[in-house]
Amino acid sequence: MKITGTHQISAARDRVFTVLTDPECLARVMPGCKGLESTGDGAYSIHLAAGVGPIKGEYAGTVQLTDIEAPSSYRMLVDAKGKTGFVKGEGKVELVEDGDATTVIYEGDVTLGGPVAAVGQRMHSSAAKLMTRQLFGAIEAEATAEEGEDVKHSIIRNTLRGLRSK
Amino acid sequence: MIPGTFDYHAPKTLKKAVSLLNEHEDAKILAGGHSLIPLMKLRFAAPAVVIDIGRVSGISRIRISDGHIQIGALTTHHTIGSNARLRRVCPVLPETANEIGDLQVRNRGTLGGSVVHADPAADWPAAMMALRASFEVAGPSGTREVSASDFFVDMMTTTIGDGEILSQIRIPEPPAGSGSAYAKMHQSASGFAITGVAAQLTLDESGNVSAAGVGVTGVAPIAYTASAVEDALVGKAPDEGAIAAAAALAADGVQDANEDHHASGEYRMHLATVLASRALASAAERAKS
Amino acid sequence: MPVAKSVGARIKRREDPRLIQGLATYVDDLQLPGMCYVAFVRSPHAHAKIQSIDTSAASALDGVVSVVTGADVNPDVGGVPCAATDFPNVQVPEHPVLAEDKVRFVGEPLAAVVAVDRYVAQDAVDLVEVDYDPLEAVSDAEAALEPGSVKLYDHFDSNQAFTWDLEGGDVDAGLKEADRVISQRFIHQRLAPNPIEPRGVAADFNAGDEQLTLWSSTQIPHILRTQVALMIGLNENRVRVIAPEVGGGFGCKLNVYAEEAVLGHLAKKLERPVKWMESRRENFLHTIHGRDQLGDVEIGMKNDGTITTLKYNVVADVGSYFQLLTPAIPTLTGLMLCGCYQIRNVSMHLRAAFTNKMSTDAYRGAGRPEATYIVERIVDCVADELGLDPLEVRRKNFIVKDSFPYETGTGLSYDSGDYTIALDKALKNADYEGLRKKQAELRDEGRYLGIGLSTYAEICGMGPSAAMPAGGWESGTVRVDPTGKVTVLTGIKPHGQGQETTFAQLIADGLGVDVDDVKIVHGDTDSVQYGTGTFGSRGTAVGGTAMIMAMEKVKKKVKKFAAHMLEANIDDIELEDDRYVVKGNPERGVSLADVSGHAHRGIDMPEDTEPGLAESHFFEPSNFTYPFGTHIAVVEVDKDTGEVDIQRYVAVDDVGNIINPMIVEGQIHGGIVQGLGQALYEEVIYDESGQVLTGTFMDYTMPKAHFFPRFELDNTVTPTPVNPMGVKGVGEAGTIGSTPAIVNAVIDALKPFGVRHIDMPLRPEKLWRLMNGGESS
Ligand SMILES: Cc1cc2nc3c(=O)[nH]c(=O)nc-3n(C[C@H](O)[C@H](O)[C@H](O)COP(=O)(O)OP(=O)(O)OC[C@H]3O[C@@H](n4cnc5c(N)ncnc54)[C@H](O)[C@@H]3O)c2cc1C
Repeated sequence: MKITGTHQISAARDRVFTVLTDPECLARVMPGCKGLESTGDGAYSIHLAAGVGPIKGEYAGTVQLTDIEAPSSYRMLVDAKGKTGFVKGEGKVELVEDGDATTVIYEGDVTLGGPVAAVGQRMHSSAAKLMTRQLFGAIEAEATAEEGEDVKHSIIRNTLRGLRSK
Repeated sequence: MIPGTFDYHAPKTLKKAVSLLNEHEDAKILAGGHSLIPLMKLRFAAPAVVIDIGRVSGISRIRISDGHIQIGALTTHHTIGSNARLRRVCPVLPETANEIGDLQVRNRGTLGGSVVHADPAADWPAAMMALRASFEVAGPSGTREVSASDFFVDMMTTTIGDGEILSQIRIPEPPAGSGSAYAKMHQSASGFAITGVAAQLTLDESGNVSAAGVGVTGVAPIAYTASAVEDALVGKAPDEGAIAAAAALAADGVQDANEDHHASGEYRMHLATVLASRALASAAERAKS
Repeated sequence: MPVAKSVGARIKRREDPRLIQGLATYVDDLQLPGMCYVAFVRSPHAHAKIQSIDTSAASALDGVVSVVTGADVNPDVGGVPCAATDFPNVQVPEHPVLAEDKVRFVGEPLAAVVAVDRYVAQDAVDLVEVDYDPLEAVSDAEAALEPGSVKLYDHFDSNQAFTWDLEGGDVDAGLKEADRVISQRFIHQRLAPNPIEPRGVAADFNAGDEQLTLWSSTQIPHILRTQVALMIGLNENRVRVIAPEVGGGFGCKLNVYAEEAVLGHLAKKLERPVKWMESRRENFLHTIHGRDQLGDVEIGMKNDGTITTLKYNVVADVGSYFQLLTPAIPTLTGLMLCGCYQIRNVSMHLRAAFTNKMSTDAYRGAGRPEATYIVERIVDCVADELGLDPLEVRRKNFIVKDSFPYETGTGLSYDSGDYTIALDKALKNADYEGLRKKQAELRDEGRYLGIGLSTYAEICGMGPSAAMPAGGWESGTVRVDPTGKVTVLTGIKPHGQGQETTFAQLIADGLGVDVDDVKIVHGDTDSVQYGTGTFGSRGTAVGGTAMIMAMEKVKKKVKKFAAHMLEANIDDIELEDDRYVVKGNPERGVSLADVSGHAHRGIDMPEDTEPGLAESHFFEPSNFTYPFGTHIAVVEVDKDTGEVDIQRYVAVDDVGNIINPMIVEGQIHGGIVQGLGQALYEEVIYDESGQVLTGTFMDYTMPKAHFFPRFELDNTVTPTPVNPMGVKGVGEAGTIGSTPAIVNAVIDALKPFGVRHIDMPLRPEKLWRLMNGGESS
């Protein structure tokens, strides 16, 4: 499944890049992330409780960032598995300055396997888009959070704002 | 196809159900079970506690009074589909109900379960948007009322919190001179909507549209109100030309349309226009008679 | 009480009361003391190396009795057998019951958990940790045959499973002779058989008697017994297979599966009864699939519509391993490529490809729907090319009535047929002329009606043993009890075909008893003599004949007794209703009960006659049988949505003599629905990485009753000379005949849009695009 798109974030490119590549920030913005630990060399082990609505699955695996060209681009490899199947993804992320804001351009290929592939096909692309929306809502929140603000709160605020404006 | 282990409660009152829901971590409400149980059998959902509201009284009735149609969340599709009064007062409701699944599904599945589940291909949300429904939600600190446009947040996501239960659905009683209808294209395997359009028109004395409501399901991650269609019709006579022109706007502004091997996004958006015109034509017909 | 003649009567199915009332016993109804439940760990990967399997957490779970992997089981259990490996360039893969080093399709089993209940078993499956090293997968058959493709088997040269060639006449000469040549690619998409009851196995080992009883939802209990005994190393006579009530098979239970041997092995090893019921999800992944061929056809034609040559160059996607008959299936396509036409020059060049998918094998029609689809589409393509009515092209090329037995270009000998009478009757029933008129009128209004024909002939009544990978004969025993009640033991295994009724009708008339006095026993290898099973529309044509022959032997003996008892000449004894009487003297007679009572007392025997009244017969048919018919579909396609509305469906089938019209109609009904399922709805979709995307009924469209109009059925009767009853077989005819009728109808409807061909399934979006200036995507 191809996932491509662009998303504008109202924060400076350096800041956005940090949010996207810093493990602590990443742990906060990845939907359902329950743990992310560096294993060195741009690789992280990750634990996700990902899902949509009542559908939940726990996934464990690795995230690897490569070809990092701060602050403009990197590649990302995800490989995680759980009881309901596995996810493998590979993608390229580019950040382009756009005045005070940053445009994130992403292009990736995601493979789902096992039960989640076999029973959920009608939801795959919508679910992927949903998670992308959640991710960017969270990135925006993280990137624009005021010092000391509860990021969780601003994630909700931003997600809702993003949805309203659709 | 074997669910994991869970605890089971079957409270008799809404209050008890709400408190059970708030006492337990990872608890889920069970209504008709026709969305939840399939997920549990696949182990895609594995709640630790299941609270069956099937025995809760007072939430499975249809009442029409004080200018409102009030439908309990636990009312089954079949009950709505076979309600003679609704057929007269608000035909889109029974019509939608009768397009859902098969008889077994309609006998168990509930309106409340369907809207809370918020499947992007579910039928009910279209009518809820078209009819400007509102939802009464019971929580630990009392009840709140949410409009349909605020209720559906994203695919399979609503504003209902983990500790809340949907108790009633309220729909303004259509004024005299109203007609409503639902047009659907079935996904051949599941019977859900590839696209479904619910429409309600109210005509003034001169036969022009005084109010229009159009809801579309299946196209976007959540059902939406096709406001461009509504706006294009208000003030006009609902003739073939006006309906066609308005219906053409039924997928306006949709980005990221749903797609799968049954139907592409482009096709779904096209179907929205075709089905909008069909639903509007029957609604107009009914409004006139 | 005189017995009315029951053959030909619409007798209600005698099996239905128990099925409808929930009184039937399926595998899942079996409960034995101490029974354990088995669940399988299955690969989520289409292609991966198994690095390690850690079963410790699963084994430690409360209620788990045993967890076994390939390493534990494979040394004691032989591989899954294939009975049809005699092919050119064949590469036969090893097929372990539990994958050990590598998995090759999603759903392949690699470990089994035995637990005290199904819930614990499933919990334990979730606890088995498998470390996979995923490999690139190939799910496209043509890509799999490309040099440089990922290989499923490292030690094979390529993914080519085997090849097969067939040529009759001279296809190149046929091409030269042609005024025009066209070519067309046809895709027969992969289908899931989906019987209402998935597979299921229960096994119980009695160590004292050294006796394994295996219950399985199978179409072939005897073959299964032989194979499982060999696989798990028991003497065949120590294995008893019982196929209890079987909730449909459609060919997918004409097989020997890994689970059947694993359950037998586990019961023996654990000395506890075990049971496994397949879930629908498992059924989608690991029960054989059908069809999956894609090929190019070249057709030469004369300007008058005569087809001079047919060349089929095809790739069959056989999936990852061979199941029982995998390689044999596409050869049936080749044999039937000429359909009901005199096509003298015909060839098929087949290459079979291994892909990272479930194996293909027999699914209702098994290879023949592909042939019929090709040839029935082709006659329409020829008509389209030449601007002729498809009807004319059919008539032009029909094999004519007086040329039977007819030797086809593919080497078959068609037994009997009269294709014109079925066609004429169908045209009349449908009012073909009127339909064409209506079509023209509606087109003027911008509405798109299509009329599609299929004049099929198919091969069934399988079959002479020489032509079958696993034997083609059948057995029957007829026993008359001392009280005159009749018990039939048949080697076939009815699972929806209604032979408990039709066989009883045949016996009732043949022996002069009431239908209700006949009991048909099947599916238990300890009570029934060896048999082949139910598949290939052979139950009545072959199994019924075996029974009839046994019955004739019984009858001969009955007459001998009657003559002795009535002090008459045996040649003067005749059956009149329910009494054996002396010719010209009907008040002197005895009933079957009288005779049987006498025969079982054992005194006052006729000369040279043994006591008792039971006979067996093993029948080897001399040929296949060839039903035929005409199906006409009338559809309207909605230009705005692409939806197909089936307005009428008219079928005239000729299946030879009819024993019970109601049962024949039932078979045709179900058959048509499955054929239309392929045409319009069904498709097993694997993505590029070999993942199944249609793993539930939410996404795999099973046709439902309300999709269809009332079918308008009729028949002609052209008996076969191959068996004494003149019956041909009806199990698959509807499926084989119907697919092209509906596709031809839809393409006919879309003619104004310049459409020549559309691949199945004909999804609304495809049609909408074609009708609105786009390509079908
Ligand atoms: C074979 C089949 C075919 C179907 N076809 C269609 C179709 O064509 N169109 C269509 O729209 N739907 C279809 N459905 C879905 C059906 O309508 C379901 O009944 C409905 O979606 C859910 O209702 P339920 O009462 O069964 O809810 P449940 O399955 O019991 O619950 C669904 C979800 O909602 C929650 N929930 C339920 N009630 C409440 C409440 N009062 N307050 C808070 N949370 C609640 C549950 O916790 C759960 O998460 C089909 C289902 C099946 C099995």
